[in-house]
Amino acid sequence: MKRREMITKMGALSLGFATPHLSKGEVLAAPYKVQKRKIETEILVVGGGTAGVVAAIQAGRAGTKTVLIESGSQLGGTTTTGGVSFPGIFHAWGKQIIGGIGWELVMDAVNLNDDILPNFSIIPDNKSVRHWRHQVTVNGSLYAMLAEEKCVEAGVDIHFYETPTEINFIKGKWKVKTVGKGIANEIICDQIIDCSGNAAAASIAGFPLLREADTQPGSFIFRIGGYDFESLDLSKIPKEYHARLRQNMLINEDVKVESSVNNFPPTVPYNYVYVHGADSSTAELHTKANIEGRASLLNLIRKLRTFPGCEKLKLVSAQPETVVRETFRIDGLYKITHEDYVSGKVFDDSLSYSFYPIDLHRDGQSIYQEFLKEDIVATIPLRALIPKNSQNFLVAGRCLSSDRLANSALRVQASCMGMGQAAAAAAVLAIKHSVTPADVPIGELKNMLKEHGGIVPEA
Amino acid sequence: MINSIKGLWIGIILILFCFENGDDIRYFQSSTIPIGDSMDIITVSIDDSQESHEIFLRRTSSGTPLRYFIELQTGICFDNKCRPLDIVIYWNITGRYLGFELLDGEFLSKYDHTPFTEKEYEELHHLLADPFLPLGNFEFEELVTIPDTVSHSVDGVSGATAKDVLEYVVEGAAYTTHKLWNVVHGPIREQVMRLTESSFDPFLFRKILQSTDQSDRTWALERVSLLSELDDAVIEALIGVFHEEEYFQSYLLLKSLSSHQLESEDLQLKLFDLVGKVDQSIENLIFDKLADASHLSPAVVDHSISILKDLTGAQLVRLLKLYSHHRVKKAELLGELSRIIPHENKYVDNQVLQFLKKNSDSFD
Repeated sequence: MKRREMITKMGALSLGFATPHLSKGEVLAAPYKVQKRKIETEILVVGGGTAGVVAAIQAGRAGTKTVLIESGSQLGGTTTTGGVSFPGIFHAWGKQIIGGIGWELVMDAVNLNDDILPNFSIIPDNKSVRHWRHQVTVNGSLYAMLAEEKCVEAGVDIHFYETPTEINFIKGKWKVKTVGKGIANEIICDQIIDCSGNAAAASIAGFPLLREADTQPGSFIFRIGGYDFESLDLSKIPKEYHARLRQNMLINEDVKVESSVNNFPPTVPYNYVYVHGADSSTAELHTKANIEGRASLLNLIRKLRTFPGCEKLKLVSAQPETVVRETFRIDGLYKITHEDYVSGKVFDDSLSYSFYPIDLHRDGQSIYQEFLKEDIVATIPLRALIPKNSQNFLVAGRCLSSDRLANSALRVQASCMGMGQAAAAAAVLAIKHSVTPADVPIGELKNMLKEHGGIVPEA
Repeated sequence: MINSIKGLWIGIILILFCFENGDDIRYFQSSTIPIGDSMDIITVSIDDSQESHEIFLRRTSSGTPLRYFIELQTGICFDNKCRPLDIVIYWNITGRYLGFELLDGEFLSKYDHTPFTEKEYEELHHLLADPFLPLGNFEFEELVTIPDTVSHSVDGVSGATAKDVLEYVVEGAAYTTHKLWNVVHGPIREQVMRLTESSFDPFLFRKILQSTDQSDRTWALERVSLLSELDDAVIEALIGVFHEEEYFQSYLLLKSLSSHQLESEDLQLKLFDLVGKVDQSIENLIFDKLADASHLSPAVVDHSISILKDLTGAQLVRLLKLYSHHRVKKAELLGELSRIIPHENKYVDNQVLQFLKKNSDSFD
C-alpha cells in the first residue's frame, strides 16, 4: 500500500470512530450546550410551593409580568411533592379567616375530586373535635395541576428545574442568575418574592438569616396497606407502632361520608416517619434528608411486617421528598412574637390571618401545642415579610420574620397561602407607585387583597 | 365575639333545663319547635338488630313533628347484681339529642351504688349532647380493663376505665354513659331523622332554619333538595343564609340544591344578585353553582350584562367563564365587553380579548 493510500484509509477509519453510524431516521445531536438567556420581568417568584403558587397567581392576575422559578418538577411544594395534602386551617371560630387564591385552589381540588368539606360551623374544642379536623383533604396530584393551570392562565412564566445562584441589586433592578437543566438565565426584575421556604433567595441576596441550633424534624410521608387494622391484635404489637398502623387506615376515599354535617376526617390522611435535622436548603442537605427518610421507612416496613396480621403489609406510596418544617427565617422589619401570636395582635399593616396552635415538634419525641383562646386569631403584618435593609424584596411562607414558637404555628399551609397573596399584592403596588414594598399605601394594598378575595384583618 | 351566638352541638348553647317534679328528674336542651297546645302521639317500631324499640312522636294537631322519645328499659349491673332502669330519652326533630327523664323515683347510680349528684347528671347530659365523642368507636370492653372475676359487673369496674376515655364518661358510670350515648347516637337517631324527612315541607324547612341551634339549620340545609318546589318564602329564607356569611352553611346550601330547583329563574336571579354583596369565597361558590345549572336563565344574562362595567376584574373573569360554560352569545354582551377594553389590568384585558376572539364569530 502506498503511503498516500494508507493515510487516506486511516483518516476514514478515525472518522468512523468519531461519527456514529446513523440508522434511517436518526440524526446526529448537536453537542451539549448550556442555553443562556436574558429575561426581563416585573416580579420574580422564587419557589413554586404553597406560598409561591399563590403569590405568582396573584401577581399575574393583577396584570404584572411574572416569572416563577421552581427547583422541582411540579407546583404545590409541601401540599403536593411533600405529601401534606391536608392544608389548613382556613376557618376559625365559625368564620372563614383565609380565603383568596389559596382557598380557590383548595375548593377547585375538592370539587374536581367530589370531596366534601369538613363542617366548619362546628368549632373544635380540642377534646372531642381536634383542631386538625378543619384541615381539608385534597388530591395532591390534582392540586398541582390546578395550580399550574391557574398560573398559566394568569400569564405566569413557569420555569421548572431552575434555581438562583447569584442575586444582585443594581440600579434599582434585581439581577438574578439562575441555573437549571441546560440553562443559565439572567433574570432582571423589579421585585423578588422569596417563597423558597428556606429564605434561599434572601440569603443569596445577602440578607442575614436566623436559625435555631436544633431544628424540628422533617417528615417523610407514605401510605401503607395490605392489612386490616380492625382485626389486628394490638396487644401483640408494641404500642409505639400502633399510631403508624392506625393513622394510615383512612385515606381520602375512606373519609367520605354521605352527610357533610359531621364530615370530619377521622384521622390525618397520611402517615410519616420523622427525619431528624431535615434541611432542604441545599441539594446536599436535601439529598441527605431524602436518603434518611427512605431508609427509615424501609426499616419501618420491615419491622411492621414482622407483626401478626401485618405479614402482607405493603407500601402503597411514598413521596419523592422529605418535607421540612423548619430551617431559616429572615430578620425582618418586624418579628412576630409568641405573645403577638397567642394574643391575636392586629397591626396597622396586618394583611392576613393565621390560625393554628403553636405546634413545636420537639426532638421528634413530643409536640408542644398551645391552642388559641376563644375568638383569638393571629395576624401577619407586611413588615414581617420584608428583610431589614432591603429594597424591592419580600418573602412569603415559613421563612417570615418570627420567633420560633410563633413560627411553629405560622408555617402551616393556609397561613403561607395568605402570606403569598399579601406579598404579591405588595410587590404589585410597589411597582405601580415606584416605591419599596415597605412604603406602599396600606389602604390600597388591603383593598387590592380584598378585591382578589383575600380576608384582611381589621384593627 | 365571633362565636357568641353560634349554635353548637356541644358547649356554649347547651341550655340545661333541670326539672325536679316530685320524684321525676328531667334534663333538656331547647328544641326547634316549642311544644304546641295540641298534640298527639304516634308510635313507630324500630328493630336495630339488638333491641326493638317503639319511637313516640309528639306532633301538633296539624301534623308538624315536635320531638321524639323512647322509653328505654335496660339493665344496669353492679357487682353481679342488676336492676332495671327506666329512662325516657328525647330527640329533636333533626335527630339532635334533647334530653332525658327519669320518672317515678327512678335515678342513676354509680358503681358504688351512690346515686348521681346533680353535677353528674349535668355532666351526663353534656356528654350525651356531644355527637363527636369517641364512644361510638369502641365496644364497652375496650374502654375498661375488666378483671375476670367481675366480667359481668360493668359499672363495677368503672374505676378501671382506660385513662384516655375518662374524660368522655361520668366517673364511676362508664357503662351507663357508654350505653346511653350509643342509644342517643345510634340507629334510633337515624330513624327519627327519616321520620322528619317524610314530613319535610316548606313550612317545616323554614321553621328549622329559624332554630337557634346551628346544627338544626345545617340539617335542614342539607335536605333542601327534598322540597319539591321552592316558594317565595323559602327562596327568601335561602338568600338570608348567604347574608349570614357563614361559609359552610352557604357551601352546604348550594351543594344541596338540586338541578331541578336550580332551573328556577327567580332563584338564579336572586343568587346572582348576591355577587358583590357576599365574600368572594361565597361568590365563587355561586358562580360554580350557576355553571352547574342546565341553562343560565335569560333574566340572569340580561342582568349580568347590565352590571358588567361595575364588576371587579376578578368578578368579570369569573363571569366570562360562566358565559363560556353556558355558551352565552348576545350582541349586547359584545358591545359591553368592547367598552371595557382596554382594561387597566393586563390580565383582565387579556381574558376579555380571549373571550371575544373565541366567540366573536358567533354572537347574535
